[in-house]
Amino acid sequence: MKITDTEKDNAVKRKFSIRAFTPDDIEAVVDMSRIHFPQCSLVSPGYLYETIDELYFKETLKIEGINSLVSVDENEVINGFLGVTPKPYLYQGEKVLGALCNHLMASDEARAALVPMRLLQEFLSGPQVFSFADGSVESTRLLWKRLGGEPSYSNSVYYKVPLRPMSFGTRPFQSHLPSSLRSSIKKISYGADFLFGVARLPLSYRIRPDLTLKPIETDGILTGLARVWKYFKLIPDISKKELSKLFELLDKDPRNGNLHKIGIWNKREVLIGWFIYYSSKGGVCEVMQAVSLPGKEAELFESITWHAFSEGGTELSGRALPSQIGTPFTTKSFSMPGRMWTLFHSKNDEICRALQSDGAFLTRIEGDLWLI
Amino acid sequence: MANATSKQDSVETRVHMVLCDLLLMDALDPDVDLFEEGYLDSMALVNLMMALEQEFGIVIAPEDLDMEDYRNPERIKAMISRMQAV
Repeated sequence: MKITDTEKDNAVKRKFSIRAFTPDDIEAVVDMSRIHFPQCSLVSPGYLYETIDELYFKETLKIEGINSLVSVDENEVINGFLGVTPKPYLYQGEKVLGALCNHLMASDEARAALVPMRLLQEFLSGPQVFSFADGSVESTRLLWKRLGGEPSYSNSVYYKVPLRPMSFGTRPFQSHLPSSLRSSIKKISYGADFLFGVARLPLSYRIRPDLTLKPIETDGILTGLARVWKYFKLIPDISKKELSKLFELLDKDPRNGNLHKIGIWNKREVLIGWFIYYSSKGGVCEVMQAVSLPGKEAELFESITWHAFSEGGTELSGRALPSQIGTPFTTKSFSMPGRMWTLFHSKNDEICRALQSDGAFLTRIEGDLWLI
Repeated sequence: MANATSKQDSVETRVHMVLCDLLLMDALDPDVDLFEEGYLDSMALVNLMMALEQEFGIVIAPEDLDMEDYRNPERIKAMISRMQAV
């Protein structure tokens, strides 16, 4: 008997279906995450469970039609996942609803059944005004584009600053060396970098005498954001409570190093910028958010590189805001457009223009990438 | 009538050619289920769509994207013919 196309469709629909993610699914998603995302195996399953629970169920807004999604097989076994969080924004003062997606994954079997594309298609057809994803890989960009989305080129420029040039330069090769040789090269690199430091080289890692750097709390950041947001059309609509909770989640993550929130004040004690990043002694310092008043990008860059250098970092890595392109963030660093992609999708042309230009305030914190 | 038939044959041949090029195969059963048999995953589908757009001079708009149109060569042929008729 020949199986008709409709029967085949139904068979596949039975085999793989997409539905909203529920708390009962967390354990399976934790297990999948530990297989598909190397950074997830660096923390305990219990930690991951708790974070996913907080991020997608306890701390997220509940908006009908915007849910994290899972794909399940005929036995209700989860074989695909897409994390989704509603994100309230303001577009020129008007409330608009954004939705962020991340953590797309699927088993080999599910990939063959186009589950990644189906998950993204389901997400993009939701009721949100715009959708976005941060830090996406090339394959996700291609799928996203095919489903009608766009990469935000201006929000996809990454930078790397070698804070300790010898350690930075030898780091990529070290993993291929035998451990004894690796250890020797590390020591020689540290020694050379120490001498560079004593000789005050490279000269860029210094702090201007008229600037004061000190830890900044949520209130201070919100004050700074209020000053900066007037230059943007599309800004997050976030409360102090939500921002504090986000910092709390970022702070307790053991994978990336120590979280620093540092404000920069000028001699008239005006906050001219701030940066939020993870310092990692001997490793990569990842910048979550580095923001300044317009025209103060050089001061911001000098402050953050100096701070990360002082904390023992080997390199500083981040994503430049569009306003930071052409400033030291890209001219005094290894600048990598499209190393990863910020993706967006919207039927609203004005919002698309804001996301494609420098009109949207979109830092790596908004992307939630660091939490799971 | 003969003309219409040869046009359809030509679409079929070209779809077959595009698929064989993409999947690095010499021949492909026209009834093969490209998803079930594991020939196409999401990325391969994106590549197939690009190749079909190039081969047939069509634009597959996101709102027209129905993944079931790509399940087998027959359906792909039908989808191309439908788009060419518009």
